Amino acid sequence: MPDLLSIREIVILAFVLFAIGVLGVITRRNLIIILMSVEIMLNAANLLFVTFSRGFNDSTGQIMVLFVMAIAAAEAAIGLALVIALFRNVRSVMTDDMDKLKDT
Amino acid sequence: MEEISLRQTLFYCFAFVLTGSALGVVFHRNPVKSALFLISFFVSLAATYALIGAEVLATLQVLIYVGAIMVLFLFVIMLIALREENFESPLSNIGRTVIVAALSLAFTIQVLLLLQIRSGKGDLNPAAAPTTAVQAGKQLTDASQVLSVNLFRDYLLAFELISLLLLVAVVGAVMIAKRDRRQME
Repeated sequence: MPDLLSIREIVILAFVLFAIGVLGVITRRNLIIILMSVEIMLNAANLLFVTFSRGFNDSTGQIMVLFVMAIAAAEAAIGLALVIALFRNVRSVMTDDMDKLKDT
Repeated sequence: MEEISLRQTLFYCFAFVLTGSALGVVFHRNPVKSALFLISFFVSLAATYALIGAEVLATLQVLIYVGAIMVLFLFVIMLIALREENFESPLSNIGRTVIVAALSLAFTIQVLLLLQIRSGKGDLNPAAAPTTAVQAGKQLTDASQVLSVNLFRDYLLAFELISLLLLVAVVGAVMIAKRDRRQME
């Protein structure tokens, strides 16, 4: 079968995407960008699920991806609501500005 | 030397666009443009799913992520009117231009390849259907049939719990984002 994608390359791609997501969470200070980086990481994990689901010919992995998508939607809704609530109180979405609990 | 098939070429193009878009999301200074890069990321990932052979998930990826989640992100970004932050982007202006040009080139190549497939000259064969499930003595061969039977028979409880979770999330999001009544007075 010459027309198959190798699992190894897709796994490498998923690792690279996950690493980029981690990089975004670590380096950025904008809460919305951090949420987007979390979405990137979730999608990298989804890519692995789909790849191995096809590789092992078992559709359970694809069902897990469906659940991950639903949870990602819930996470985005709650996360963005939190961002809005924070912005209303602090007037900023930068993590640097969230020091109200700091003892000064 | 083994010839690289059309499928593999497409995969490499999409992998390139995926990596570039993800880097764009993380390293772009303007949150709106980050969100637009994220849309490109989700669409390319949907295309990758279709290449791997999970067409149902590819459709759902576009519907859920691009149609719902990204609209939510863009809505919130517009709502709180984010400015460009003074974030030191590691990419120079020339570097950004080169990246955008390369991404556009990859997109063009993909479209040309897809047109070739549509005209029947390509070799993008549908992947083999996954394990067939048997229900009521009938063999299911369609991949989406297998998926839905699995989902609504073996994982029915989890499915219902997920719908409950989404309901709770919706109510919670409304409660969190709602303006506090004491604040208004």
